[in-house]
Amino acid sequence: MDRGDVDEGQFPAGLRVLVVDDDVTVLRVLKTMLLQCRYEVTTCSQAATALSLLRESKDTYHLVLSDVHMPDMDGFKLLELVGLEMDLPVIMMSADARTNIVMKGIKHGACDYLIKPVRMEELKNIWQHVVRKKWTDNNRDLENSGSFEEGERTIPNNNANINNNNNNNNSNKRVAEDAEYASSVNDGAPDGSGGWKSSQKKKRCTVKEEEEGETESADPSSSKKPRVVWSVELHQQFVNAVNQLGIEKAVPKRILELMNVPGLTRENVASHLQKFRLYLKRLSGVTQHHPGLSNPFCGPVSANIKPGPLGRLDFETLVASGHLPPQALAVLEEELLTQNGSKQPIREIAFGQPLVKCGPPTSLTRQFPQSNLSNITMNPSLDMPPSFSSWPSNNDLAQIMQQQQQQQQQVVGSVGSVPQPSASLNVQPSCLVIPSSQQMNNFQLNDNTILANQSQQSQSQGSGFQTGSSTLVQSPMMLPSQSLSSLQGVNPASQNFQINQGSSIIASQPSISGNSSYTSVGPVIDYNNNLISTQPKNLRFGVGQIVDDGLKTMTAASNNNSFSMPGMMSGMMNSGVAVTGALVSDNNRQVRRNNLGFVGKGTCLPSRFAMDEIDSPTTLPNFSQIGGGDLVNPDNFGLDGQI
Amino acid sequence: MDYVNLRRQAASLRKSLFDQGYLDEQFYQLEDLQDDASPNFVEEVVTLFFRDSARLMANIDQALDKCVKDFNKLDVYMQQLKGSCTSIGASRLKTECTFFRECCRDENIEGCMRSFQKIKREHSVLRQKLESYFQLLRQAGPIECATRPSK
Repeated sequence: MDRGDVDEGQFPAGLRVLVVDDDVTVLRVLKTMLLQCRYEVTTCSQAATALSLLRESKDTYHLVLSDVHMPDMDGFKLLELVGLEMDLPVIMMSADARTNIVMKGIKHGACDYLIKPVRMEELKNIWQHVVRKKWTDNNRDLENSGSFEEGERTIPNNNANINNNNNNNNSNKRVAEDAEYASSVNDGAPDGSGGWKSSQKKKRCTVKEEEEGETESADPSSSKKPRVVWSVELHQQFVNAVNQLGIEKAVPKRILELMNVPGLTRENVASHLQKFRLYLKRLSGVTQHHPGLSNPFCGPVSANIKPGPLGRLDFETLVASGHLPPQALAVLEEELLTQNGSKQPIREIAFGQPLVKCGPPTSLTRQFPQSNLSNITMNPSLDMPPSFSSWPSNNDLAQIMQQQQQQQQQVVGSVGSVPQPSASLNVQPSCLVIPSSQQMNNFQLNDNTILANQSQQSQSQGSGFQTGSSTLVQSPMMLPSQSLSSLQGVNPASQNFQINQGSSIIASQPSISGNSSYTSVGPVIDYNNNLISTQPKNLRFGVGQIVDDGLKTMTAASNNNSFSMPGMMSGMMNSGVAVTGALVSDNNRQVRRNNLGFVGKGTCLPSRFAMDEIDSPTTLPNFSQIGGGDLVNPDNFGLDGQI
Repeated sequence: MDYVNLRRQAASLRKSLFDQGYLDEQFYQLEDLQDDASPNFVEEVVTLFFRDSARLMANIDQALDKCVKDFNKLDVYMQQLKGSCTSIGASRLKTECTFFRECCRDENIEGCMRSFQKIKREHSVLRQKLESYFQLLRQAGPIECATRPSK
């Protein structure tokens, strides 16, 4: 985040804050308070508006203050999106002080959670979050370039460093405590560095890396490194190098040498490797191989694609063309949006990763489509090329990678039409991922029917969760438990699905409860996934964060709370919606914006429903004009004008 | 016009609002925010509050009238109202909102309706009082800002 324009001498004056709250009274009060703190304030009453503002220019704001309960979008959803897309610190606010809600906020990545009424003193301190984040990110980069072999860094360590570096001890301590606390909460994860916090960290790393569209050599000693975008090809090269060396032996230096990419630094590779390792760990930890498990995530394309949710003509056209570039998808979605208005619960914010199937490698080989990219899209028989980002267990890695590589090449090739598919990956989570029921169905094919789990929360399904690959993949999909239920009902068409190992599943949160009708989206998504594949940054896509409900459901089902989360996360990573990446480009910005679909509590696309005004026929006139008690019996205590 | 007297009356009304629990600490914060740059800040915010809350309450009224017993929706509305109340320091209203939400949780429709009646009353009373208060302030002359006397 660039604060170059803030007068350093005056800091924190000039801090640019975006406040989002549906309550105009609160907005007014906060605005005044923030102005008194000498911040620059922008208020909006709708989350959708806020997102557009943020997207318009990433550097416009330093910090976001958001209410938790908003009619057009769940505050947590906004929180995730902002964190993923813009990587800005977000502070939640609510009159709701229940610990579990606060916890939810923290877990979704909130820098802080303020209880209303918010006091001036609290607002005076919010700048600390901005600084801390920046420091943490920078320090992490620096550390990554250091002793990297172990590949993991716990957050508390980072925070400890920050503590030393930062002069804001109180805040740091708090962060460190939070981190430790969070880590301990997730201690189910085998590596202990656990669930969301690691993902959070990774997410931040990834986001940061993605930010600039350039790959350039950075001065290792500088605290601000140009961001490296891990494009498909780059990641492919990386993976190849890792394979060549053997995952156990892959060290950044050697990987760098093998990759031989000009401008890439050892630090870049190191941090990427770190994420990769974490990812693998998750996969291997979660994966319980199911021999019979074919790609759970499959290629969305299936003969049974129904225009269903898309309902549409466009979809069919797409299918017909057998080619659905991400842009098309975006357009499609937009169209859906416009046409269906509220019916787009399907839309999910796609968090990008192609779903990686983490299944036993054996099936992978079989699954890899020989066909080229074009199959990806609407071809019923399409076997989506394995998503690059699928990182199955290590031992299978090489095998999978090979195949993926091929696929990737193809995919990449055909996505040429997509604007800079590999280049500008600022993966915008805003891509809508439309979970195709087909995909869901695919899941069902697997033993793991994780999907099934979701909806039914059946215990047996839950186990699916734990079964590695499917679990992972599924998770993103799973999140919206409700959609799962609908998925359950998904037709047997899914049976026909070829589950490609590599196919990425776009996990989006299935529709808002009950709307899981979209099947057709699947293929499209897949396409995108392949396109984007493997952006490590996808890792950060709050898989675990996306749908809180889903997560809960999943965890419940899987009886493995701590694990699920990481699992989900990794799953999410994979399930990315490549769409996201595709949509990232500016060309698609509009689309993207319109495609905001949040799986909130049944909220529909905010942009459609945002109510700009609170006016309603029932609005009463200015209170000063109101006589006493027009609302109710003048059961007043006769205090008219009484002094 | 007896400005002094008016000011005294205003101060007294204000004090009673605090003493009787209509207003709380948050109101002080609002007053603190008022300054030359926004001389009528408190009144503006309060006005905003009553306008917005009236709308919310009408929604709740409608929802209750329909007898559909959609407790979730009622709870959501009430949460919004409560948030508003806290932001201006409307303490009694806030308490009553909390109680209403508890009734929602217990799915006690009767309790909800009773509570809502109470909320409406409190709302109305508060509005009148504050209205009077600001009127006094205005009458007492521009010199008088809604500054907090020694706390």
